Amino acid sequence: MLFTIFNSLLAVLLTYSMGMLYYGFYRIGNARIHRRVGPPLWQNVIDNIKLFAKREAPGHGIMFHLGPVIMTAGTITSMLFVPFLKDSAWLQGFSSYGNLILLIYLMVVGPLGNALAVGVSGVPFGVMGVTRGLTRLIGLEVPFFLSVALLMSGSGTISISEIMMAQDSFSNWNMMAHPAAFIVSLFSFVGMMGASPFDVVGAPVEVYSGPQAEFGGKYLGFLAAQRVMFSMVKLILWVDLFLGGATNVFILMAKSFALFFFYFIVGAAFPRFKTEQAVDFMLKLPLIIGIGAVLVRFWSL
Amino acid sequence: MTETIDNLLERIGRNFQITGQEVKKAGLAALHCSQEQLHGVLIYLKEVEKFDTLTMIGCADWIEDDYFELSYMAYSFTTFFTVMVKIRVSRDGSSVPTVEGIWRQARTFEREIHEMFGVDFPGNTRLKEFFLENWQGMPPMKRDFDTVQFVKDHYKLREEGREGACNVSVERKKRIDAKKLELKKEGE
Amino acid sequence: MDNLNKKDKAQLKELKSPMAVVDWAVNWFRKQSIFMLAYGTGCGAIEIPPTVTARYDAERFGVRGAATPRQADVIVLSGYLAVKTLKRVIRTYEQMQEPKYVIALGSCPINGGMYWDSYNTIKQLDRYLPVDVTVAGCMPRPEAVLEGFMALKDKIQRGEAEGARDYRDNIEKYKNNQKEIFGDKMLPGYTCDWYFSDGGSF
Ligand code: SF4
Repeated sequence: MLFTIFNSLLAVLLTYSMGMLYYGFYRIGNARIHRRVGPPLWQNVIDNIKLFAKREAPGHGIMFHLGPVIMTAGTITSMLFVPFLKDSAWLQGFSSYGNLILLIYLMVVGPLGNALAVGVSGVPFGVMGVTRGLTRLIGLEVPFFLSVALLMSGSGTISISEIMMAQDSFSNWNMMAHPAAFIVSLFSFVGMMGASPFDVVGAPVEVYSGPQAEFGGKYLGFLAAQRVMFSMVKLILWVDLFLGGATNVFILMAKSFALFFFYFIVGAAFPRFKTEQAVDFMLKLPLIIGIGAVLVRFWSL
Repeated sequence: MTETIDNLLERIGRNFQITGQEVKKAGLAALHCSQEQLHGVLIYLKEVEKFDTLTMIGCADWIEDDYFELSYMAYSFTTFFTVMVKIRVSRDGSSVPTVEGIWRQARTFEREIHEMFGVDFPGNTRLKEFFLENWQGMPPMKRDFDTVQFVKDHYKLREEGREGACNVSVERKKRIDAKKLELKKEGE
Repeated sequence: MDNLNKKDKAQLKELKSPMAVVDWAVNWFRKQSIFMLAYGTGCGAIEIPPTVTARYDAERFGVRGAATPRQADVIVLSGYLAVKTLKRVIRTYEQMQEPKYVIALGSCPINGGMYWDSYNTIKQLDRYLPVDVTVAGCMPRPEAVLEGFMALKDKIQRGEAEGARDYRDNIEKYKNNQKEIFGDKMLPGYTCDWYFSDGGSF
């Protein structure tokens, strides 16, 4: 038991520090693309600590307080059901008790809880952001479910650990074994990470950071921290599902950073979609590839 | 036959009583008419001559001759002409029926003129305060409005730290004179 | 990139008690991460884009744009303030979270500048809001704006940038000054009152 608790804490710490590092890179990278010097690598950590050190934070009743808490709790819970490493007792969380389907549900709990808090605050921009987020979700989830379904039927199991275990050599990585599923999932991956072209939710100049509009001080600190951790959870999930998992932390970092770099390039290169455009886009190419792959799959069964 | 602005003015002159007209430059003409003729001219411009939009309404305060001159500038996207229709109204208590029914954007222009000059536009649906909140007294763009006095009455100017302040134009003139003198001496 | 530079280290050596060190550290984080709400009130709004973009790159000093007043640390008022603008600025300022700072750019907020005889702009911003740093000039160039940010950082590190506390302690004085120009259209206590009483419509 003690070991599990220690392991969970370690997972939180690891995702926080890795996420902050990656997002620090993200900011510097973007700055270099703009031909700027950019902030120091640990600027995100400084921002985060400063937010927690602010003396005031506005409140709108109990539900508003709970929003960031639910969000963080949702993140940490989904984190605990993702095994970070394979062939190791470390950093497994509770993944032996859960499976992929549970995780898919857990991943939307946080944002939904936050939506309630935003509703309580009554800020029109926040509500707009939440509406946009839910609309976007329609587009994102369908290709994601298709690719996950392909993967589950391909490996014949719904346990993430077992999917990860099955990918023992490079040619067996799901990325190689099920290329269609991987490509489709990449579209949803970029969308779920929330960079442009799919950043309609928090679009700074349109809806003034959307759901976060009313959160300041420690609330914003929580939201910022959970955002980087949630991104890390998604990265690790994708590493587990498609990139063959990792046997130690360094391989995990290398693989997740490769994915992060892909996301960074896409985000830096493409302008923002409108909300309907994002959904339309998702329901065109990725959906067609996904459905095609599913049909081929059933044909060959 | 290509359309010229003179032809246009001639056609308008045939239909309305125009008290004065001039072509300012290619594609820009000004007409003077009476307040009663204004709506007729503007409707004619919009419906017959296809002047699609009203670009602005200007107001000038001719305090010496005691009138406001309102100029309605209409623009056509087919001929690219601008026609200014000017009317004169008295400086106090003047009222001009709105042209909102012809071009809807006129209500914002009229709202501004109402606030800045005090001209009334009966029929305008949105004639409330615009830039100035809670303004009482004389409208500020009238030329008999004394801004300096108003500022002295309503705001506090910074007093401290200005003891050594010099008059910039006087100082500048002094310096230029000194420089000139210097140059002159050098020349000799 | 100024991380722990020489000045910081020298200051750190002088601190005696552990609590002082904690305070110092908190202030250090505050000064290294400044979320800016650029309120383009006058001509000077045009100086903010070059300050934050590629040419002058304020982000290397940790200065970064904030989307809403709730998230912001500093409000940058660039230029003259019309009476109508001042009302919105005060509302915005009161929505920000402590500790919060004000930077005023240009000579207009200092003494009226070239609008000293205008009927609709205020002449001294510090009568209505606690200004931490004013940058003189008409308009100050981005270098000067960055210099203003450096001055603010120094002030934060010394723990003297307590405009919010000043505003709270002397609220009577500030509100009286505000009342002088707003008259009976004074701001109400809560934003929503004002919003529904037609102050927010245009
Ligand atoms: S100081 Fe100069 S540039 Fe700035 S607002 Fe005033 S007049 Fe404009």
